[in-house]
Amino acid sequence: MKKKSSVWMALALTCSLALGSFAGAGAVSAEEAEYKDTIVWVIGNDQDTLDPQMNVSNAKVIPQYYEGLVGFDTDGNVVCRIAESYESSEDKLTWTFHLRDDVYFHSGKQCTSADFQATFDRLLDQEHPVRHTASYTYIESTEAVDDFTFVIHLAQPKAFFLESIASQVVMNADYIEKYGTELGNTAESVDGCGPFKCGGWTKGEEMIFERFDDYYGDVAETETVIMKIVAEQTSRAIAIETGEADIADGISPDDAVRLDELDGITVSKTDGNGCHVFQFNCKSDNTPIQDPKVRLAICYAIDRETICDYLYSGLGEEPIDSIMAPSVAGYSSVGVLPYDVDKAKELLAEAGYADGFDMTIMTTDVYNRGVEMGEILVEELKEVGINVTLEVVELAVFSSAWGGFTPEEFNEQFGWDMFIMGSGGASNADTLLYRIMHSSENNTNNYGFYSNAEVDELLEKGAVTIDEEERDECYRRIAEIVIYEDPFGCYMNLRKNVYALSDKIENFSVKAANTMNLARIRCRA
Amino acid sequence: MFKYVVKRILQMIPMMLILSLIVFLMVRLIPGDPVDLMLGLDVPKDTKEYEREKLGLNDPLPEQYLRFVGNALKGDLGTSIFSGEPVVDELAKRFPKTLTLAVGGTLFGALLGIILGIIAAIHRNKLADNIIAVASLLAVSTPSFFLALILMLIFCLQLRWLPSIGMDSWKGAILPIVTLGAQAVGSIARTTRSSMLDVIHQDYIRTSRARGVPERVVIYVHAFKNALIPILTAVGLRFGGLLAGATLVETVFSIPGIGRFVVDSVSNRDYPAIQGSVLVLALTFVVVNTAVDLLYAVVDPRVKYE
Repeated sequence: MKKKSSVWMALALTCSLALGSFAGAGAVSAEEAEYKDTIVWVIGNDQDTLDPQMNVSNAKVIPQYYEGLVGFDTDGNVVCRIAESYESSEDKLTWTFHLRDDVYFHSGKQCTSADFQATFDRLLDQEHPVRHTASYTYIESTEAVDDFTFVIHLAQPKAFFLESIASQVVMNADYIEKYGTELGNTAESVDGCGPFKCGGWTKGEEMIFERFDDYYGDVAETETVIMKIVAEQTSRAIAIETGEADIADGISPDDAVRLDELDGITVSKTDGNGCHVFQFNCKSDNTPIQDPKVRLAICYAIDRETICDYLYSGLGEEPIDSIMAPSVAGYSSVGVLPYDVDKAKELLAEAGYADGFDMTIMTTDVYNRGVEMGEILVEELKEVGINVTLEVVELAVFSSAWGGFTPEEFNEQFGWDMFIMGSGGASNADTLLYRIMHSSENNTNNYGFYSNAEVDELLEKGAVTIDEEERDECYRRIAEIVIYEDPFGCYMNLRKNVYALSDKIENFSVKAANTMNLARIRCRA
Repeated sequence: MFKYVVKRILQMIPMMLILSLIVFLMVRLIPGDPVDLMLGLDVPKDTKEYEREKLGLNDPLPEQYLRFVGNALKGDLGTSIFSGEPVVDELAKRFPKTLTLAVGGTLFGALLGIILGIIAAIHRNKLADNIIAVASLLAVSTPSFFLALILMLIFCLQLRWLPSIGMDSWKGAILPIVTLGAQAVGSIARTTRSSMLDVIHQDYIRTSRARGVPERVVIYVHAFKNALIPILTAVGLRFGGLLAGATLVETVFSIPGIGRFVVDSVSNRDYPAIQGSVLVLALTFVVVNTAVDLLYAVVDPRVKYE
């Protein structure tokens, strides 16, 4: 223990000396001196890139470096960020954003509408598409009216426009020009307006977040946050126990229970914005799966309560009562489909499969306990006479199976009747559902070839309905159809964002998208 | 000797070429595609196709292979699809860490293994021999990730003597090296024991004893020197095993070495990174085994390389 505190003391001393000499202030106030200058955060995976338009890893890092016109608060409400105000035309086709004039990039350059113009030009470039280019085709054009006025023209009214635009952050126009596709590959190529600047990145090893003193909002509480990559779940749990880490990310349900009982450690569990789904291949060669009654029977035969209790109770995860998390704009609860074996058998008999049939379910450990969940499904479906072959695949096979296949190609190449999928990551119902459920032919994200005319119509209506009540009703009805009438998949557990924390950590909060409010976090020395 | 070394080096060339072809084909035969993994699930086909074209993945395989070999001969192993860094730089960063682990593990395994092997041979079929036999069996059959976690619990969590993540200081290297070396201890001890037993029953050992040479000298000078060749072979082969075994240890102790890099690259289907790492690991293995062959001549003057 002694050794540990002496290391921290040495570290604190070095950092405070450095702080003193840089700030020129010389002395650190008594209140500040009680907190560590450096927080260590251990995490399982590194970021693929720090290019905000290409990053697929997660929403944990990019928002610490970059900010956009608007953003989300911890409760999921849209709030102004670099735009200090905005207004829309009456037809909701023109949105004018008035930018703050006190926003600077980490490089020292002032952020103006020219940077937003360059950012959106890059986002909307159909010739050289970035990750979400296809999601913003509703934007007709953008315009930098003057240094601090930025206008977005829409091709059609867009429900959840602000939520959709909140995930786009501004990049320095000079950096876009200078680095091109190399932007975000190194620490030097990161230049945002967020509360932290990237102080170094050794890929696969660690990333350093340094407080950005010219941040336009409240500057970060802690001078340096080190994100260390510790691939092994158990090693992360041990690191928090030994005090080598202050925050451990992505711990196993067993470790969560164990750590929660230890002195000096707390486990934070908050609702995430995603859930697990075992999705149906609605155009499967295996004809029973094409029948909505059979799909519904399968859903009734799965005991979500017990599965969650058995696999995820350590994380506090429970069955989801809708097709989206409560944090997603457009959410309405439609209740958890009950576990009812008799009802399942009755439906199978009605569909003409009273004696059951064979089917294949794909799962992967890419999703937390996905394999165990698949194994339980096999046993539960046996109860209603369905004989399941479970196919466990690794990440590369899983990733290669989505997008761009015709049902015939998919059936020939993979032949799965049901497959595990994570559903979430979007802040609003339109972004989340349209691409995975609408039956339009060029919708490559409808991996299970789901097709329901009423759902299509409601999705189209929801996407352009500005009236919140009317729009929510569209999505409530979709949830009802998708869960109780013509199942899209078996909706399983609502994910939690789970972190193990040293109990010296203060002001810890995390958004549903699993973004820590890193700037506010501090740790007692 | 010089001729032999040149011959061995020349032999390496076709071997590395064949290996490069096998690795090149193997990574492309396993299902999965780097672009799918890099861009994620919600990206349209066109974006993926554009990326594939940019990376040259749509070119005919022979063309891709020749490009890879041609560049490799110039010392360029390509650019990692995921990190965007040259593979050579990635390996240069990681190689010292893996080499430290493998060399440290081999030294630890060889030192302890040889001592235990000699003790077991001297006390053949006695208590010490039996204890060492059981310990060797345990060491060989304990999975390294399990041993790593047990050592972590004791030395990092309970005693707080050593760090559990990273290898920034000599302290951080202790547990990974011990974990890695433990497996080698068992097999080297068994080899040393049987090799020593063969030698101990030779006539010249009996003669030495009859001449009144002290037992210590008989065992550690006369017998051990003659028993060394099989032990050297075992140590050389273990080194290769430890290079490969470093993967698990690097994962548990969060050491960014080549082993961890290979695993990540395989799951990401990062073709250039896999090819480069396997070539470098294979080359290291071949070089070490050549060095072991040359050592034979040093320990046994009867071995001549012409």
